[in-house]
Amino acid sequence: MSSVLLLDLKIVLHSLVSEPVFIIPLISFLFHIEITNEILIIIIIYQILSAVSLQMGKYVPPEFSTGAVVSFILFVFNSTCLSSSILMGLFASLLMIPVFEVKIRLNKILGKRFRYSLAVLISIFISIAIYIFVFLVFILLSNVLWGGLTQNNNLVIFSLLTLPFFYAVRLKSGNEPLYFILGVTFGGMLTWINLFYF
Amino acid sequence: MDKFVLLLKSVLLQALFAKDDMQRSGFRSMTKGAFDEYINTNPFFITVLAGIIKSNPRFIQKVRFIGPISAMLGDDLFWNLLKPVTLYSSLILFLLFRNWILIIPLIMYNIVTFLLRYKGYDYGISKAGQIKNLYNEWYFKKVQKSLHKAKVFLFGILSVFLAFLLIHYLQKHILYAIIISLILTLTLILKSRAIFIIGIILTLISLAKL
Repeated sequence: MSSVLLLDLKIVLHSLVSEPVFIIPLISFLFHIEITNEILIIIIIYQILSAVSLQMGKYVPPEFSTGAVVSFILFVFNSTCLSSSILMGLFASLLMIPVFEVKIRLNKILGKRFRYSLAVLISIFISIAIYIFVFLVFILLSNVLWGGLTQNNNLVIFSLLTLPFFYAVRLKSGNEPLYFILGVTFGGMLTWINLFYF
Repeated sequence: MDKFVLLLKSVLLQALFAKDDMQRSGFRSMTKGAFDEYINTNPFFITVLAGIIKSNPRFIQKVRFIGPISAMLGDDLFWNLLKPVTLYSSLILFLLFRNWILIIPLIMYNIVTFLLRYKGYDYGISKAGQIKNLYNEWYFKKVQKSLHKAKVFLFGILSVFLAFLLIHYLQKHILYAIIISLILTLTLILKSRAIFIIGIILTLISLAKL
């Protein structure tokens, strides 16, 4: 089901349903999973990354929505610890860059060889298969990689591997600090009201 | 009926996206073969371009000209501004209420994009002659500036919620509060969100101590 929802990201519709803030609560609702603080952290991290990574023209960004789903699946269904789940999700997001590059090369061949409607159908099925394959690979990898490690080792590896990743992500500089400060003030007020009055 | 079929085809436009030809296959199908060459545009503007071709099949040069402009306009308006604003609003609503109220921004976003896809065809037909003025339409100009401010403002709110959530998750340890405050200060001084996101990861790493 996640792989079908993820089609919204780059293949059809573009309605934002595939974004972490919508897809994870939706899956949680369907599988009766309670949204804990850990799941919230997964949602927030991937959502911020996904919101700032833009597919413009020929540039293919990492698929952070796929990463969020991988992290969520690993954390909830595979009982992987939070840090390892997030790390695997980040790798999944990066893996989707070359995978999508291959897919769009394949699209060109499909467009030339088949009728339009048939080519679209094949393209959709291939995309679903790719997502399912990625999920399965990461579930298997997670068991192999993290199985023998202690919690501390997991976190050390996590810290070493994620920091360069975040430096490499191209994030635009905020050129409106005043509005950011206003937002921080307003958020602080909301938190304060929420804490002391409810 | 034609418009509805075009709307459906516009939804599937990116299914055969290719690096060399971009949206060529999808647009060829929308124009029934009238336009069969490289085209780069934003998926939400594709019906406008289909309308131009429909109004006069000889307007191919106009489509070649307006394609990249609509791509730039649409990418900035939808991907760079409207998408983050929708996502940040939904995330803030979700963190505040933890219920399905988060879909309100999503519904509004989809109303805007589907209306543009649906009405774009008529716009393309009626304004094919003056299509070079697309970028100067008042709603694009006015909306862009306010959306940019809203995006930064919402990101500010989100940062506080995230900082609070992390401190709460990390058992209200004062050390984490100091780390997060430092990160927020650096974010403001360096005007970079990268520092902030790195901070989130650093804070998560410190979970090892708990």
